[in-house]
Amino acid sequence: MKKQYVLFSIIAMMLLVLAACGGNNNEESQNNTDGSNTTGDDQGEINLYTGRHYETDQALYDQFTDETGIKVNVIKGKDDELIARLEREGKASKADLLITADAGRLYRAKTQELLQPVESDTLTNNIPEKYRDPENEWFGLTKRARIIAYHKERVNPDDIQSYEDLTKDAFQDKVLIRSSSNIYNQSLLASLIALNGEPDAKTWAEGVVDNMARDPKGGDRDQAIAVAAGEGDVAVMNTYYLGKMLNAEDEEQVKAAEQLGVIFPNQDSTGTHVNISGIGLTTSSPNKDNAILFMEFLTKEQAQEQFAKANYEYPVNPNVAVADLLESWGSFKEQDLNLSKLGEFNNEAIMIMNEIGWK
Amino acid sequence: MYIQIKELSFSYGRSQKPIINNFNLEIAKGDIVSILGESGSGKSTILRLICGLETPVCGSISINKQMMSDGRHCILPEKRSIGMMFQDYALFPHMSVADNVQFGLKHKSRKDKRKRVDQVLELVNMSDFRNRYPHELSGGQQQRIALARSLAPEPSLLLMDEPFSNLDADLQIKIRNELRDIIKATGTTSIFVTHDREDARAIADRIITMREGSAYEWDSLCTIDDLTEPALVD
Amino acid sequence: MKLNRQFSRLLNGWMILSIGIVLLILFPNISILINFFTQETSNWDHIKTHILPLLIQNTSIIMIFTGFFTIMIGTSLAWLVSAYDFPFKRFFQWGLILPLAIPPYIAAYTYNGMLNYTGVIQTGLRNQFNIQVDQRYFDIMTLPGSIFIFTLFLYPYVYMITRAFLANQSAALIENAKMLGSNSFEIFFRVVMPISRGAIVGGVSLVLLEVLNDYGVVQYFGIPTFSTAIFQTWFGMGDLNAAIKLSATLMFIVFFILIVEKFLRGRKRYSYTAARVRPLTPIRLTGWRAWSVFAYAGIIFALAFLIPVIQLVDWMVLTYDKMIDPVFLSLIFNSLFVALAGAAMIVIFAVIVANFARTQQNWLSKASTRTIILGYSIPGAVIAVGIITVFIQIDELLFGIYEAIGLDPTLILSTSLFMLISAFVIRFLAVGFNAIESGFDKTGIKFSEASRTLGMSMTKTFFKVDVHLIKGAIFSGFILSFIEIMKELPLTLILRPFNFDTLSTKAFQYASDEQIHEASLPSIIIIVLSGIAIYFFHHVVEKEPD
Repeated sequence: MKKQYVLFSIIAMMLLVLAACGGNNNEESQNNTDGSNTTGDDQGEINLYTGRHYETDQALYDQFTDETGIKVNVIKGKDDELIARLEREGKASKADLLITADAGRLYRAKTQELLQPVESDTLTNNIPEKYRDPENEWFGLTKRARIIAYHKERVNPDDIQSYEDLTKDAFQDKVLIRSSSNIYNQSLLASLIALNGEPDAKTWAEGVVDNMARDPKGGDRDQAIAVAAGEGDVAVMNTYYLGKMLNAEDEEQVKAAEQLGVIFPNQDSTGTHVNISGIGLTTSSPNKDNAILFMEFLTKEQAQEQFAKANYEYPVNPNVAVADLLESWGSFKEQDLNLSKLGEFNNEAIMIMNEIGWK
Repeated sequence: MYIQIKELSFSYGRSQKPIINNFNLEIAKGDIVSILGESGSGKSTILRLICGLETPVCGSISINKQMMSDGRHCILPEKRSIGMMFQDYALFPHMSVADNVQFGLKHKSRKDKRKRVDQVLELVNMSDFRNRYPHELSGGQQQRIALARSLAPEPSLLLMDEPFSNLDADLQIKIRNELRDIIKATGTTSIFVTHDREDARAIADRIITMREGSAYEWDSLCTIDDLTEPALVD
Repeated sequence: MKLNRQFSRLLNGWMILSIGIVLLILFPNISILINFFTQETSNWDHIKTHILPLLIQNTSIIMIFTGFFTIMIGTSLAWLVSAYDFPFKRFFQWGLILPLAIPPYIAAYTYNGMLNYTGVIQTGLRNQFNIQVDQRYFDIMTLPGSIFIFTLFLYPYVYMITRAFLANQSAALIENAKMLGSNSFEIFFRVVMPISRGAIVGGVSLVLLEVLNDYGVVQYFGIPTFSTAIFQTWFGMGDLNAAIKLSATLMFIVFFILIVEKFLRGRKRYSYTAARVRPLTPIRLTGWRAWSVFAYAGIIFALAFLIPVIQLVDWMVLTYDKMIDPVFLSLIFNSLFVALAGAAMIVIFAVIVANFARTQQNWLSKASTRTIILGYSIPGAVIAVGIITVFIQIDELLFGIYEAIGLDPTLILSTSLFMLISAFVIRFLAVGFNAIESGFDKTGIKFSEASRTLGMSMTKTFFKVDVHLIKGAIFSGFILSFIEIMKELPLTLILRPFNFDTLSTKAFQYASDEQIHEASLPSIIIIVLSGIAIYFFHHVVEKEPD
C-alpha cells in the first residue's frame, strides 16, 4: 500500500525529468526550422560559446548557415563564466569555439589549455599580427579603442591629450570612470603596466583615483551622461558606446552625447589603448574543420564590414573601411602591444586597483 | 491481563530528565481506566507511548498478548489498531463528518463502510449531522464525532486525552455520563487522561494517579477519597 | 541495538527520498567547498588586507538597513491591510505583492534611467522649466540607493508572510488588546509585532539572503560587496581558492543569520490552538484616517511597481517594433517551461523533505532542513560552477551506459535542460520549502497523528490528510518558486543548453550592453507573467476556507 505511493511519487518525478529533457529536444528542433533544416548529419554543425551579446552577431551566424549549410549552435554568457564552464567540461566539452569581448580573457583560456592553435593562411592574412596570439591560439575579430570623452564647452581639448593628463591637477574631481570590476579598465591598466612598468602604472592609477568626480559606478554610457550632466568634465569610455548613444532612440541620450568631444589619447607617445573581441578554437573541438571555416568567415571582408557598421566597432581586417561615424573621428595611433599582455598583467592590474582603493 | 505495560521509561533526547520512569500498568479487558495527574506529570506522554507516536527508551507494552513495543521492535502507530481521541479532537477540517468517521475504516466494501458509519453516528446520537463540516459543529458535537471516529474501526484499545477540557462545565457533566455509556455499550477497553478528579470518578472503573511524571501509584475506586489529601490538589 | 531500532523506524521511502534530495543539493556545494582546505594563496592575503574590511562594512550596512526597512514597511502594510478597511484595500491586498515580479537589477537600471541626466525627471525639469539640478540629489547609484532598491523590491516577502499570519492567527489576541484599551499604535508595536515575530523573521531572512547573493544591483551601482568580490577574485584574478574562501565567509554569515532566525523564532510552534480559527474582522476607517492609510499604501505601490513599470512601458514603446519577432515567442515559451517545470520539482521535493523533517524530529531531519538553505545562500554563479562539475562527473560515470544504448559517449546530461532545471531546484528549494514548512507549522502535527492512529501509514496520511491541509502552502511555494525562476539570471545564463534563451537572459543581454530601452520588452513580459502568478496566488490563498 505504502510502496505504491512512494512509487507513484518517484514516477511523477521521472516524468517531470523526461518532460524537461523532452522539452529540450523540442526546443532544439524548433530552432532548427528557422535556419536550414540540417540536424548535424548533412552539413554538420558548430557549437559556439560567446561572451558577445549583440543582435548583429546573430545575423552573421545566420548568414554563415545560409552560405555553408552548417548550423551554428550558441550559448551566450559572460566571458568568465563561459571559460569556467569550458574548464569544467574539459575534454568532453561539445564547444568548438570561444568568443570573448576581451583579449585578456582569451589569454587566460589559452594558459588554461582550453584553446588549440589554428594554422590558416586566411586568418593570418586577414588579421594583423598584434591582434592575434603569437602561437595562433586566438584571433581578434573586432577592436575598440578606449578613448577620453570631454565636454566641448567646459574643456579645452589641448589640455587632455593623454591618459596621463587625467591625473593633472586641472582635472581634480572632474574624471569619470567605471569601477575596477570592469574588464575594460583592468585591461587599460594592464596595458599601461606592460608599456610603462608597474610603478608608473600604479602612480597613474593613484592619480586617477584622486581626480575622480565621484565613486565609480554605472556603465560606460553613465560616465558620458555624467559629463553632460556636469558631474565631471572628462570620461573614459569605449568608442562604440558613444556611437550607440549618438544613434539612440531616446533623443535625450543623443543630446547628451552631442555635447561630448572625442580624444584619442597618447597620439604623441605610446598610443591609444585598444582591445579586441576575439575567437579561439577549443582543445576539445569535435567539429574542427567546420569551426575553422567559421573563423575564416568572420574575418573576411563581408563579415568584417557588417561587424563594424552595425556595432560601431573597428574591423581588425585592415582592408575593411570603418563606419562613417568612426571615420569622422579620424584615424589614430594605437598602443604598440601584443594584446596577450592584457591577459598577462590582468591580475597585477586588479591588485593595484585594490591596493590604491579604486572601487 | 489484556494490557500489560512493564517498566516503561521515556525521555525526550538522551540527556533530558526522564518524563516517564519505570511505569507499570495492567488492565483487564473492557475496563475503563483513568490516569489522573497534574499537568506536566507525563500522563499524556503515556498515551502517546501506548499508541506508538513516541518510542520508549526501555520497557514493554503488550495488548492482548501481542507485543507492541519492547527493546527491539516497535510497531508503527497505524498497525496497532488503537483508537486515540485527541484533546482538541483533530477532526480533519477538509472532510465532512461522515468522511471523518469513515476515515479509519479499511478492508470493507463501500456498503459496509456506510453501514458502520451510520451505526457509530447513531451511537453518539449525531446521525443528523453526517454532511456537516467540523467547523459547523459546537464543541460538544465535535467531541462526539471525535469519539465516533475513534470507535468506528473497532479499536482494541481506546485512548482519550483530556476529553472534556474544551467543553463548558455544565456540558461536561452531561457528556461524561453519556461517554461512559457509549464506551461501555461497545465494550471497548479504554484509558483516559484527566486532571479533574470528578471526571475520573464519574467514568473510570479504576483510577491511576501520577506524580511528578516519574512516580506511579494506583488506588481502587473505593479508596478514591484518599485522593483528597493535599498533595494532589489541582 | 537501540540505534539499529531507531534506524529501522526511520528507514522508509520518505527518508530515502529526502536523503537523495539533500545529496543533490550537497554535492555541488561540496565540490566547491572542498577547495576551502587548500593552502592560502598570496591573493588571499591581498584580499584580507585591501578589500575584506570594506566588503564586510558595505554588506553589513546594506543588510541592516534593508532588513530594518523591509520589516517596517512589510509589517505595517500587512497590519493595515488585515486590520482595517480603506479605499482600494482589496486591490492593495495583492497589489502590494506585485513588486516581487520585478527583478531588482532591472529596477536598478530603470530607476537610474529615470533619475539620471537624460532621464524623464531631469529632462522634464530642464526642458519645461529650464531648471538644472544638482546631480547629487538625483544619484541613486549609491549605498543608500541600493538599500532603497532592495527595500522596495524585496519587502513583499515580509508583507506576504506576515499578512498570512495575521489573517489567520491573531484575531483573539488583537481583540483582547483592544478590549484592554490599547490604541492602534500600541497594538501594532506591542501586540502585532511581537506575535508575528516568527513570520517577520521568516520573511526578513529571505530578504537578507536575496540581498547577500544579489550581483546585478551592487555591480551596476559600483558597490563592493561579497558577491562582486567573489566574481572579481575568481574570474578577474583567476583565483578559485580565494573566491571560495570569500564564499565560505559569506556562508558563515548565512549560517549566522539562520541560527539567529531559529533563535528568534524560539520554541514556539505557531499551530492552530483551537480546531476553529477566527479571522480578524477589519475595522472600517473613514475620513482622513482612511485616506492617509490609502496614501501610504499607494506611495509604496507607486514607487515599487507603478512608476518603474510605466517607465519600462514608455521605453518599450520606443523599441518594441525592432524586438517583436517569432523568436520572441519562443523566449516566452522557454521561460514558462523552465519556470513551471522547476517550480513543480521544487514543490515536490520541498514537500518530501518538509514532511520527513516534521515527522522525524532528529538530527538527520534537522540537518536536512538546514542543508536546503545552502543553495539559496551562495551567489548563483558560484553554485553554477559546482553544478557543472557534478553533472560532468555524472555524465562521465554514465559514458558506459550511453554507449550501451547506442549513444555517443559525450556530455548528455550536462548539455541538457535537465541540468538547468536541477540547478533551479538546488537554488530555490529553500523558497518552496519555507512556504511549505510554514504550512505544516500552521497545521501542526495532530491531524497526521490522528490519521496514523486511525490506521493510515505515513504515506497514506500524507495523501489523504496533509496534502489537503497544506494545499494553500503548496500553491504559495509553487508560485514563489515560479517567480524566482522567471527572474533568475546567473544560473540560466551559464547552465543553459545551446540555443536556449529566456526572457531574463534576453533582458540581461541588453541591460549588460547598456541598452536598457531594448531590455524593457522582455522585462515587462517577465513582470506581467509573474504578476499574473501573484494574482492567482492571492486569489487561491484568499479562498482557503480556514
